[in-house]
Amino acid sequence: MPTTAKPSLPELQRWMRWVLTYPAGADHVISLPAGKAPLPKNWTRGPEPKRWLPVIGQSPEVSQGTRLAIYGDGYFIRIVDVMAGNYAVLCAVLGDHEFRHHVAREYLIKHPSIHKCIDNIGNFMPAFLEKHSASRKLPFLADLARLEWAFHESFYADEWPLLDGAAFKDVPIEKWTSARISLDPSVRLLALRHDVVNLWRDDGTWSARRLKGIKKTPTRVVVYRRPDAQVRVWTEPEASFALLKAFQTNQTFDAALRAAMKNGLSPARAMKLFSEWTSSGLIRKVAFR
Amino acid sequence: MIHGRGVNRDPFAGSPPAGVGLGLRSVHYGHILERKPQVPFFEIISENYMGTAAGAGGRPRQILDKIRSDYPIVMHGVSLSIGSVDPLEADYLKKLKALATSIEPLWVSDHFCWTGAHGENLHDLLPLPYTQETVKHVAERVKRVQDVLGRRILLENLSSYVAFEHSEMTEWECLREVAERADCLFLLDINNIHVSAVNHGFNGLDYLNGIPADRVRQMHLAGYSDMGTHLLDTHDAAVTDPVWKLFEAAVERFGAVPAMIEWDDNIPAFEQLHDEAKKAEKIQQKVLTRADNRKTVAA
Repeated sequence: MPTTAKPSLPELQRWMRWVLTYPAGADHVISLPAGKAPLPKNWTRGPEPKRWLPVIGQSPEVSQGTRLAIYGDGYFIRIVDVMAGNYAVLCAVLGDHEFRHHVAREYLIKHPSIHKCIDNIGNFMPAFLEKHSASRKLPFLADLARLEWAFHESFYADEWPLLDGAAFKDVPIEKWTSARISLDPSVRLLALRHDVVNLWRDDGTWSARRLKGIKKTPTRVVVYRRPDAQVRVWTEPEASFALLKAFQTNQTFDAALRAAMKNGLSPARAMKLFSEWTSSGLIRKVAFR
Repeated sequence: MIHGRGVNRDPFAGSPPAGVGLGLRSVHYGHILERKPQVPFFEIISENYMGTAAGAGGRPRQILDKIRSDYPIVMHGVSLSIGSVDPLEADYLKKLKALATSIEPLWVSDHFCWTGAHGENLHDLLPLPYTQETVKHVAERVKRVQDVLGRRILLENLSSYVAFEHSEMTEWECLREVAERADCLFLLDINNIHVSAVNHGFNGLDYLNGIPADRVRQMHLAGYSDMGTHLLDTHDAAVTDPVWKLFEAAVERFGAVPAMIEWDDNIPAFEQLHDEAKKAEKIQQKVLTRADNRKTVAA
């Protein structure tokens, strides 16, 4: 073999990881002197490690740069494509080009994937958008991302069996005070600053025409995957939202009721909600001490 | 058709399913559940059913469980990263094992590659240099994975665009050494052999002849894109003539090994995909009949 210097596997993989993820392109970076490539904003990988270009094979038809760029270009295209799917509404609101070529790429530079599952990429998007310039024009973007990520998480949440409400009819009332209620793992409770939930219709689809109507107003939202695997979202009044939140944070039934009553919920209404949420599957477990 | 669970849990035990299976893709869920087409097995992308950080439930698992009740399943992973210098990820292996325990696949496979390193995942199938260092590194990791899963795994050859000047052997020699050291099996991707052969200038038949026949448990077929100067493994088109020819040679060499059609982009209607599988089955039958006739004449 013509080369005398041979990289170890860790050395080769360290350099290839760097060069294949360089945003201006692997073919561009190898055209620059080693170690002289400018570091992009929010770049987390430091300067170029020792360059191992001589070990990359080439042919008269296909250069080293072209060969590396096949992987480098694919890196951004593949991951951004998945993000565009998980943030479909955000992508549509921003515009496909703006999302893919700016927001998602910049996100990936700042938050490279540490996940085995490509579908986990994007979990920092709400916080990322809080400080992104695109939010100056569309201040609801972070809330929209929060809601879409909640949809995504809800879709993949663990499955628990439905609760049989009839099993509780003989439980003495005094046992209920210390009972702890568990919501379905798919339930996400979000306190948003904008009413982005109004983008969605009752059937789960969304409407671009509703964009103009988005207002800055505190909105409490429930995201839930129904037993038929369809994920649905709705707003919940403050009092009933507080009751759900208390259940989700593992408070006793008694403490949860008191928290809800402080927000104006009557005990009778709370019991009615408890029954409805059990029937719909929102409540999945009751643990008596 | 084989419907029962527990069939061929060890790929060496019993007979493999005859014929050509298909990749299970979400666009075909409805067709498969409603019409129950005659397909010997479906191959799943393991990671699509292992859940996310949020959990491992939802529609993908519900559908898989339904389809599993009617068809054998084989598991094909893309994130094991067997060649990475990062430690094997215990949580990933735990989830992989849980999925395998739950759906009882005929076998479990992944790629001879690395997908990320130094704590980062590039979510791509990246090539390895073919060196003794790679052989030792990968073989040790395959052994550990097999210990965790309690079964031998199949390693699949890649399509690649980069070859390394410091390689000490051919790709097939490297694969063979890894398999002998780790006692693992092969999923031979015929399309990948052709793509890499064109991109790196070797003969696909040499590749086939260099692979030990007794370790090949499955074959893949797929379409690629011709970029003029090189081929791209895009899985977005029908199998091409050169790949069909190489497949014929592979059946000649490896016999009645189950094959499978991969089509992951611009996915066609189920019937078109199924027709591609039937075409592959015809080639299998033609070659195997020819081989039988030769045996009869010789006898």
